[in-house]
Amino acid sequence: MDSKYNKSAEQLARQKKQRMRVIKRRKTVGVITTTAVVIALSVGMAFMALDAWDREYDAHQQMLAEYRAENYRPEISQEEKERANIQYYEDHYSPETIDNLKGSIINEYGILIDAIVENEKLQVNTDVEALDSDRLDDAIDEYGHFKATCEKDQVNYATASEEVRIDKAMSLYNSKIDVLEDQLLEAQQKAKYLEPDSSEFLENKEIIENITRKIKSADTAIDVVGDRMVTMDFEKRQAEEGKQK
Amino acid sequence: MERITKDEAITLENNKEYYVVEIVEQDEKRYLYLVKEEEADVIVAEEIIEGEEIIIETLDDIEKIKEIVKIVTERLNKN
Repeated sequence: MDSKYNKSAEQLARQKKQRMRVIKRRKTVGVITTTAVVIALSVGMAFMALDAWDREYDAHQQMLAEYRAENYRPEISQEEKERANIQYYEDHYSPETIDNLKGSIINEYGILIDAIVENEKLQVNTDVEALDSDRLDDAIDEYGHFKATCEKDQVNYATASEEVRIDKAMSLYNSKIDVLEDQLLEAQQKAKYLEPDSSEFLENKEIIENITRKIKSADTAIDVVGDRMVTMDFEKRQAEEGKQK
Repeated sequence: MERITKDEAITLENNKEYYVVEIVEQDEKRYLYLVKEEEADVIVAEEIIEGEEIIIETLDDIEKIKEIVKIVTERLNKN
């Protein structure tokens, strides 16, 4: 994109409120000039790219903070942290892949999980009292999907290696979050055009709340899985150190 | 007072002339997407009728600007 359009886009993003009278008007001959349309489109696209970058940057910062909070371990060397950060920048820069951050960063450390066990613990045991009937239905449904995915791929989830189960679980959660986030965005956009307090607005609001809850549920599942992975990695390292001794 | 239309060029009190490339109508408001050719300058403003005068008020709400730019860019891309 031409830098003059980028500059104009940045100016547009910073424009201040200003009132001005229209002192003269003239009809253009037929249509607006091609040059004006090209400028309009180029600046518009440059502006949207700025906006997308801002959103990507915010998402990046948030995910990086989450990753650091979840994976902070004193025994990880500065070198390893830097390598993970570089890897993150290289592999997870676009919005489409940011959602996969946790899975791949954790894989970077070669950590394993048992997603099915953790899923059951989260959905059935640990959190059972907090689950209302809807959430329980969601959990059962989600678990069913997970099993169906494994069966479709001819993977015996009960006996598959941890690596296979990790991969399937992370892929399932990530794709689930992708779909939910698309639905959430659509509902949020729709809300802008609905009459506040109208029945359609309230219905849409309920949809937004449901989707948000589902995203949180999937996020929580990933978090639990992440914690478990950290523990397992620690145990694995201890076992290796034990063997060496 | 005749409202501003898409096929117009308007001169503001700072003596700058802008082409009206698109108009977005929302919530009983009219937003103009204005282009000044020489400087490749774009502004997004609301059209306000005050008596016999037409005033344009540039927006400073970034979310609204984003919304208007998105709509306009989609329209222009279709053409």
